[in-house]
Amino acid sequence: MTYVHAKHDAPTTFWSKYIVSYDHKVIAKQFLWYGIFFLGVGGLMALLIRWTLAFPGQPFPVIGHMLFPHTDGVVPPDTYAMLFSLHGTIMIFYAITPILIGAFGNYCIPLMIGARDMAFPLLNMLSFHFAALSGLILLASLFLPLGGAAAGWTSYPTLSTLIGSPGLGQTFWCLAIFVLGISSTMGAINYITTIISFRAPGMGYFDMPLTIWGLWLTAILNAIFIPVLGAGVLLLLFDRLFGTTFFLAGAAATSGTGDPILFQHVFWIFGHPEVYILILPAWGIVSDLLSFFARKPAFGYKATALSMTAVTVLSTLVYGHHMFTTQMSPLLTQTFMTLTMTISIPSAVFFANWLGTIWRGSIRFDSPMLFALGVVFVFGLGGLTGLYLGTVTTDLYLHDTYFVVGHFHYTMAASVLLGGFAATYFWFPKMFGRMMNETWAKVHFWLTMIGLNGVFFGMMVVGWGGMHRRLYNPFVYEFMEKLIPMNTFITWSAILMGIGQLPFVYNFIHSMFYGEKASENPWQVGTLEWTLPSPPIHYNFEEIPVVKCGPHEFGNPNLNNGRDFQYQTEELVKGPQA
Amino acid sequence: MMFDLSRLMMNPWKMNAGLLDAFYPPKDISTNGHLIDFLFYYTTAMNIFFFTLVCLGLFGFSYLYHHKRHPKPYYTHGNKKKQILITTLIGLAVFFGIDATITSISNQDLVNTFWKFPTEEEKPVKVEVLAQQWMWTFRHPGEDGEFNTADDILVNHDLHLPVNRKIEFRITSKDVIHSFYLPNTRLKVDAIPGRVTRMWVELTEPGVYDIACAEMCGTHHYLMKGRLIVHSEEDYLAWKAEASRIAKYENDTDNPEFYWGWKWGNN
Amino acid sequence: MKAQTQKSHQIALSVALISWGMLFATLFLGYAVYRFQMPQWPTAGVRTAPLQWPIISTILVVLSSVSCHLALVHYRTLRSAPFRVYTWISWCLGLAFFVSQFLFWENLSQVGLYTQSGIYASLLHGMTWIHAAHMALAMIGLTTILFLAYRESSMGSRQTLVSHLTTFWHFLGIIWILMFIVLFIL
Repeated sequence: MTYVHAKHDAPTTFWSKYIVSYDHKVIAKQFLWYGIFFLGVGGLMALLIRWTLAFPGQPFPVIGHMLFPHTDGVVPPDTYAMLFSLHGTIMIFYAITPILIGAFGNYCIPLMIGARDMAFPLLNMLSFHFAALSGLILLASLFLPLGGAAAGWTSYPTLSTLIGSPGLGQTFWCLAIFVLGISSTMGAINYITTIISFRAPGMGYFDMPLTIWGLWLTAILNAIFIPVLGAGVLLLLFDRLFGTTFFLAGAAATSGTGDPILFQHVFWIFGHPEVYILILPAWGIVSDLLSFFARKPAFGYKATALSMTAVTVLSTLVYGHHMFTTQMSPLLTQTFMTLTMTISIPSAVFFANWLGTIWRGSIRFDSPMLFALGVVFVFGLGGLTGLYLGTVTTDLYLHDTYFVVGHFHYTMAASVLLGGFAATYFWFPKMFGRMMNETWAKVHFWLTMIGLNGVFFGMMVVGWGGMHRRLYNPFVYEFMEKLIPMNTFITWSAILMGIGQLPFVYNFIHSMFYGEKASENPWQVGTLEWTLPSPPIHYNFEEIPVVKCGPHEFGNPNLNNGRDFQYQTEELVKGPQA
Repeated sequence: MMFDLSRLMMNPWKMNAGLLDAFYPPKDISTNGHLIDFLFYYTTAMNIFFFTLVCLGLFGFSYLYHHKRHPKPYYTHGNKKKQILITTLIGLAVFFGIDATITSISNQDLVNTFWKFPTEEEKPVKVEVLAQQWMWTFRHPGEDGEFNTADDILVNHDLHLPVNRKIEFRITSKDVIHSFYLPNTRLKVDAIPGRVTRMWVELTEPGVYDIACAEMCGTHHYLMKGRLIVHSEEDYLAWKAEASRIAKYENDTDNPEFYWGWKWGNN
Repeated sequence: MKAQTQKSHQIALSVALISWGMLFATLFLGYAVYRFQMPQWPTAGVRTAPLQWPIISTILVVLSSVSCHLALVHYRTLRSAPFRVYTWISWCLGLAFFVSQFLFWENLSQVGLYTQSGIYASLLHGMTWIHAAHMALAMIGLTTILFLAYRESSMGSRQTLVSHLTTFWHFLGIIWILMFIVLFIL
């Protein structure tokens, strides 16, 4: 049964159009600005971190003296701890989540499934405003006397309890994460319901674009596991505010101690699905883009959708591989190692399908495709490096070294970032009615690729060299002296990567006002959003479409209308023998 | 027989390193570190193999099937029997080529080596390790052979150990979670308040090496450095005798904080 | 159109209940881990919680679920007078539940089980606080329904709201009963 929203009048006031809009397309843009803003903040924090690691004792250029007046522009150690903690928190919860899930999820889901809006537009609006509140709380924590949270984004007790983190920063962090959890759960409920109930007639689950599969699976994981983090963070908050002893142990706890390791279990029961939450939308988007720009159907569509589902299910069973050095029981340790390995199989299947999609295609190298191919490269590399960490003995050495940092940045940051850029270049014409500049896009691509490979491959190298994480000054250790040139190289690559984002920002803003006007279907793609004007009217579809074929009908030799693709609303053209 | 620290200050690594020097791990001075190194190199070899195939596909197809070179795409949904078979075989090849192999090797290494703690008959050197913000303290049993007694040898920062003997560490933390990391043995284990964790090693080469804390523990986490001082067997005994002698008058046995240790036990 | 939207609301409610269920499941997981790691429970030197207020709370919870259910039945059959009566009864029982919780927490302090009194007390306080916070949300919902009960135009037209709130109310009731068994009986 398909559910349909009625056509409705457009909002008229500034307030109803831009602040409390119920329109998923507006809410998507709100999440986009929000996410891009925090991407910038998180990126600046990363540069501050890298500067300190390569040039300790040197003031940060340009803005150093303004940010750190008391230390002559040099990042002090306690601020450094706050920087890496908030860099992680911001990038995961305030940049990737809002951009991939909040912005592209909101924008693409109704349009691609043929709906006029999300199932619950009010809930959608509330989801954004809760996220905004959460962002404010987190930013506010930066201005507290003792600064923001500084116990790592993982916030392990007892460092994150009052023992290790006096002051309000960590408390604000807990509160901000809890409020964001409410936002994410609201969004998840909306996405799941919309995809189940509002698909256009004729669109079965296996006629949905793979982008929607990715977003759907992400929402399911979000709905199940964000509350787990919520509970953990709530208990930590109680420890900090009300003197409970959930996570206090050792000399601090005088009667009936708590268990700091319980927090790690709870955190990673959420945390491992979370990393899949972050990557699933990008996987879906890449699966679609490879097909669109190779002008042939996605290879093994059903297998890809089922593999992504298998990975989603398996991701819930492997969290213990983050805790191998805490000495869980041998049986538990072995079980987590074995289960972690099984994720390779479905991952390899859809990865092979990606290559199968471009095999014997007719590839156009427009910017969305370049970035999608980039994801294939960095995710292939990043995914393989996970193997070292899933294996207990190699993990004993590599745990909490830069090898882990390199691994998760390849899989999370590089893959998701490139996927996000691919999505931006691809859907910009639909969102803003104008094309982005292809030349600057290609410059952006190459600078980003070269930069990020330098940074994150370098990190894996120094990780293998033994450099451990969260260090203010690596020069303290003799065994790391030979890593100094590589560390400097990583920093220069990071600076290159940072500079490489400037063409993107320029391109984005310039194109929004002065870009070449976009036609209805500039990429010549058959999914439902491309049957609409760019940008669409506020209730999207004048008539709810009826879907008659899959989302990747490219290159059908029986086509004879001058196009090499079919819209999803067209009957599949069969050959004379059929 | 005084031990001479200066003899032990070996620095085999070049001070001014080049970029490529970063590609080598710290010198392995343990009997079992090579197991980890081997598994790392094996996994790397397999990864290079599979990633090369990926790159051949990625770059090869990008070149061969550029729309100018290959204007007519091959219309297939990839759901023919042969295609499914190939994809499945690829998945299984990755799993059995890498995953299953490294899991089984690692499991064997764990069960036969890393989890095989020295028995009492092997007379291991026992050390209790206390992690706190931001230093390491090491407790060695004194002449009475018992822990948490008045004659224990307590040393901050410096861990004196002999070669060619099994050494078992039992570790705890006073305040937050730390991690006892000996890069030159490839091992680390977390130091958790309220718990005791264990690790064992056997060292092969005298010298002075680094000890680090590998779990974020606060502002001065980066300064939580220790020195692993590995002696020849005679030098170790000499050190121990001297340290025992000093302990007799240096130990503050009236201070209850002195007794942070615990009876070794047979857990 | 109304009947159509019902199914999508059902799906949303199911997902929401799974989310809330996971939150409480995490708390129960924590409880299990703490309890089975300790050699004795409650931990040494700590007395068990006094049972009178939890028992009263449980009775109130069960009664309020019954009255909520009856209110829903009358709403569905469009009998506005009994619907109002049962909604009021549910609302008052809900308020009484809060009073019993406050008295419970006060009682805990009286017997020395403060929030700072170790892990057993932490669980007693923490779990019941989180449950009570969700009951507060349910009370807001119930208050809304109380307002609606006095608007003729809303009679029968807000099926989803009334039935979903009732389901949520029952859900919290089940959570309370599980907590009661786990924290106070076992």
